[in-house]
Amino acid sequence: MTALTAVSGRRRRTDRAARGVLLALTGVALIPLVLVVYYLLKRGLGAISWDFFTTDPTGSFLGDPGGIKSAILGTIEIVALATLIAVPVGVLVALYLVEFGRGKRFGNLVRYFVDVMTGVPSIVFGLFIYIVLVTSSFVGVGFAGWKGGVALALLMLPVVIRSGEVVLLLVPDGLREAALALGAPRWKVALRVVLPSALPGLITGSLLAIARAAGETAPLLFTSAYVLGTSFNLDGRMNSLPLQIFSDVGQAQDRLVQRAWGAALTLVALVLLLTLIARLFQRRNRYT
Amino acid sequence: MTDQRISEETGAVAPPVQRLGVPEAAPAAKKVASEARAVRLEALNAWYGDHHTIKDLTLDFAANRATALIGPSGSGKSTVVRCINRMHEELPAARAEGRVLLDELDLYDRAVDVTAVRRAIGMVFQKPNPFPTMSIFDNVAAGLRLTSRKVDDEHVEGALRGANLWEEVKDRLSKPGIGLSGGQQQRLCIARALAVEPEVILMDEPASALDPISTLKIEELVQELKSRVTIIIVTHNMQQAARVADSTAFMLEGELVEVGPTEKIFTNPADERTERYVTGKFG
Amino acid sequence: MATARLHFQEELKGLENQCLGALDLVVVTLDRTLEALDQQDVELAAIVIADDDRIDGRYLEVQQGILSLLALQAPVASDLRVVAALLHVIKHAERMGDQCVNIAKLIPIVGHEPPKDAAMMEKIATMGRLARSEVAQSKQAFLLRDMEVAEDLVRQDAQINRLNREVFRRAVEIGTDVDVREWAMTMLLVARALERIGDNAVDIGEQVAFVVTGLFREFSDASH
Repeated sequence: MTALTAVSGRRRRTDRAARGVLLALTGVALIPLVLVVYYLLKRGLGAISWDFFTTDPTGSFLGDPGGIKSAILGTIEIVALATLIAVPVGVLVALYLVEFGRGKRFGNLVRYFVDVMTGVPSIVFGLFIYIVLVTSSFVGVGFAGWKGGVALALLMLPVVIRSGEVVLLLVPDGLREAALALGAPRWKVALRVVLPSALPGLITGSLLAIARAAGETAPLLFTSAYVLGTSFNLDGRMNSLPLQIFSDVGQAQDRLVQRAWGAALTLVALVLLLTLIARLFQRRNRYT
Repeated sequence: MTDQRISEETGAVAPPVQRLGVPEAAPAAKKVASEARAVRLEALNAWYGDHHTIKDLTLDFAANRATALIGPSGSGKSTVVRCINRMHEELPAARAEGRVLLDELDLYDRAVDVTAVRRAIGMVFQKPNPFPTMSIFDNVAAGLRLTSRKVDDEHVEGALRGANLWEEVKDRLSKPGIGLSGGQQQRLCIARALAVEPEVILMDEPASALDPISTLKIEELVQELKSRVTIIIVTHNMQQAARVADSTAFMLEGELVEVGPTEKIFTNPADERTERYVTGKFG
Repeated sequence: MATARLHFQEELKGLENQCLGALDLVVVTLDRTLEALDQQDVELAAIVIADDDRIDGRYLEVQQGILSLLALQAPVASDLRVVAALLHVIKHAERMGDQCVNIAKLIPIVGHEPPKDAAMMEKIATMGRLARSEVAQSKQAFLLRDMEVAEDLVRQDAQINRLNREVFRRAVEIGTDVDVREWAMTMLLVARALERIGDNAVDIGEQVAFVVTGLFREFSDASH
C-alpha cells in the first residue's frame, strides 16, 4: 500500500510562493481600475447635483455652465436606435450562422467578415458613415442623431453576432433533433426552439454590446456631432455623453472640466448598471 | 375522455415477420383498427462520408408490433432508424439510398416532404430532451405547434395518459418540463411524440440513460403502445429486447444477420454469429 | 473471440462436469449392484443403498448451481439449452441411482438362496451389461454433443426391452414351485429396474439432441 505521507515542507513553500505571485499580479492588474474609480469619484462627485442632471449645457464660458441633461438623453436616444438596428440583425445573422451556415462556404465567409469587423477601429465606422450618410446627398447632408445611431449599430453588430453565435452553439443539438424529429421545418426549429433556449445568453450579449457602444466617442464625432440643447429630433444634431466629455475636458475653465468628470462618472455608472443587469440576468437563467 | 385510437384486436394476428431470403407464408393478419403501419426497408444503403455504414439492408417491421434492433457498437442499428425518419440526412456528410416504405409509400421519393415523414414517424432519443423553456403542457403541445396544428387540452391529456404520465403531472402542467426526474422526462418525450399521432415510433436506446425502475416503466409503456403504433426500438440491452420485442433483428457491421421472433433468437438462433453475440461471446 | 464472459463459461463447464460426474457415480453404483447381484453379496448391497446419498447430494448441488446460473448470468440461446438439459440429465442420473437402490434392496430377499434359473440369470446379466454401457455412452454423447452416439442408445435400449420381455415370459413359464416363482418375480423386478435405467439413458440422449438442434424430439415413444 502506498504510504499516505504528509505534504513536504518544500511543496508547501512552493505552493505559498506561487500563490503569493498570483495575488501580487492580480493586485497589479487591479491598480489601474482602482485608480480610475478613485479619480472619477474624486473629480466627478463634486459636479453631481440635481441641476446637473436636469439642465442643458449653456455653452457659456464664464457664466453658469449648466448640466448634462441633453447629453444623457442624447446618449439614450442614439444608443436605443443603435440597439434597435444591431440586435435584431445581429441575432438573425448569428442564427443563420449556427442553424444554416455551419460548414457551408457562405457561412464561413460571413463569419470571416464578422471577425474582420470586430477588429475595425470605431473611428473608421464613424468616417464611413460620415462619407456615406453625412456628406453625400444620399439621405440629406448634415449631422444627425440617427446617423450616429447607425454608426454605433455597425460597431455593435459584430459583437452581437459573435456572442450570439457562441450562445446559440451552446444549445444542445438534442433539442434541435427533437424538434426536427417532430416534423418541424428548419426555420421553425431555429425560431421557436433554439432562439428561446438561448434567449438569456443573447440578452446578456446584447447588453454588453450596448454598454460598449454607449461609451464610444469617435463615431459620434462625425455623425451626430455636438450640440447644446436637448433634442428629440433624431434627424438633427444630437448631444451625447462621450461628446460632452470630449468637448469639456479640454476647456480652460475649471467648472467645465469638472463637468466633464461628472459626465464621465455618469457614463461609467450607466455602463456599470447595464453590466450589472446583464449579470443578474445571466445568474437567474442558469440554463446556458 | 374516450381515446378512439386504442385498438380492438378482434382476430388472431400472427407476427408476419419475414426472415431474410425465406418468405414465410404469413397468415393474412386481420388489420387492427389503428393507424399503425408497417415499415419495409428495401436495399437500403447509407454512408457517412466515405464510410459505408449500412449495406444493402432489406428488413420488415410489422405493424402494431415492437421490433428490436440489436447488435454491437458500430453495427449501424442507430443509423437504420435515423434513415427511417430521414434524420440521417440532417448530418452534413451523410447520404442514404434505397427505399423505405411506409405501407406502400416510399419515403425517399422526391415528391415526399421530409417534414411530413417525420410527422408520421415519431422518435424518442437516448437522452431525454424536453424543451427547457417550455412547461410540461407546452412540451407535449410543442409537436402540434411546430407543425402548425391546433392544440386542445384533451389532446395533450390523451398523449400524457398514453405515456403513463398523466397522473403524475396533471396538477403541475404549467411547471417547467425539465423539473421532472429523468424517467419522467423520457415519458414526457414519449407523450410529445404521441401527441402528433404518429403511425410509427422509433426509439433509440430510450432507457439506457435511466435507472432500472424507470426502465421497466418505459418497457411497460412499449407493451401498451404496441396496439396503437408500430414500434422500432434500438437497444444495447439484450434482456430489454427479450422482454419487450415481438421480433428481433441482429445487425453486424451494417448488415442484417438474422431476424425472427424474439423467442427464437434468444433460445435457438439460426446464425452462428447471432448465437455468439447473444451469448456474449463477442460484442 | 471467446474472451467475453470467461467466468460464466467456466462456471457453465464446471456445472456440466459436476452433472456428468453424477453419471460416473451411477456407473460405479451399477457395477457394484450387478456384482452384488451376481455374488449374492448382501453387504455390498447395503453399501450401494447407503452410497445413494452421494448421488442425491450431487443432484442438489447441480440444481442449486443451475438456479444460480439462471439468476445471475441470464444465459440465452445454446447456453440456456445446456442449462435446461443439465437439469433433466441430473434428474435422470438421480433416478438411475434410485433404480440401483431398488435392485440392491431386492438382493437380501434372494441372497441366501442359490439362483433358481440359469437362463434367466444370464438374461439379467446381459441386461446389466447393456444398461451399464448405455449409461456410459449417454455421458459420452452429452460430453461430445454427438447426435449419432445419442441415437445409437436407442438400438441398445431396444435390446434391453427385448430381454425384459423374455425375462417376463420366462417368469410366466417358470413352473409351479412356489419358491421358484417367488424368486422369478423378484428377478422380474430387477429386470424392470434395469430396463428403466436404460430408458433414462435414452432420455439423456434426447437432451443431447435438444442441446444441439434446439428441438426436442422423443427418440422412441414409451408406448412401443
